[in-house]
Amino acid sequence: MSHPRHQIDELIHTPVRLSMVAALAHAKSIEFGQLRDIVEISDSLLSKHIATLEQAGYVDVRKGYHGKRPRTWLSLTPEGRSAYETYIDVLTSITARSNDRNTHE
Amino acid sequence: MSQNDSQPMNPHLAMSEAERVKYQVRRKARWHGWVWLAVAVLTPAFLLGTQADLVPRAQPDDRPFVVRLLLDGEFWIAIGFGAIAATLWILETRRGVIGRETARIDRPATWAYVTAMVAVAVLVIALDPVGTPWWFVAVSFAPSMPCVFAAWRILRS
Repeated sequence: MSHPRHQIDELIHTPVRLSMVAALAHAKSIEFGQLRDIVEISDSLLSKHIATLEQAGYVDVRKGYHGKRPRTWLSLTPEGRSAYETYIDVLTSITARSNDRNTHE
Repeated sequence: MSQNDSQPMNPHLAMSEAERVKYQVRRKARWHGWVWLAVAVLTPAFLLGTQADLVPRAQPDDRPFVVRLLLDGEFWIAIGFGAIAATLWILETRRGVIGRETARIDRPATWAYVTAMVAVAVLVIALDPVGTPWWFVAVSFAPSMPCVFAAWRILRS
């Protein structure tokens, strides 16, 4: 079990959740609508993935108002940030391995 | 991006998606740096514009106060800067991405700016400069320093 793929965080390693976590990793917080536009998915799908990440303790959800309009702000928790950093390290070592293999072939 | 994707992805694809998103988020977060830069430019323009006799001033006479106010150049400068400040504030409240560097630098930069503005106001009241002496020109740029620093930090992040 020495291959880095065994260390991949399966919770992050899906297209939608990766985009969400990557976006939140580079911001202090992002408003729901902005995150939806960045990730390019529907409101309902975004809500579903937010619930998954929130349950895992990776995402913090803060609800508030802008005038009379409700707004939801999302941010990564320290656990989520650490998980993303580890995930990127693992991906980097996997891609480096595969690049090395391609060079030697 | 597809709507029903919860399947794992290729590592190379994952890396490129992470990069794409990082670029987009950083670009959106940098907007705040331009606001700081605008404040850095507008503040000395406002201070020098109101102090220098560049605009016609209403002279004390028998006309009603409102008429004299409307004829006063400084009043229109203040209105103009107020409108710009209000527009920036409205745009700020609508931003949906708060960058990490913005979150770090905003509060100290705001305090430094407010402190510098209060210092300028105290100096103007105490020394009552006529026109724009060299020291006034110098201090009118002081509040811009924290703004330029904040803008630089945010725009390079």
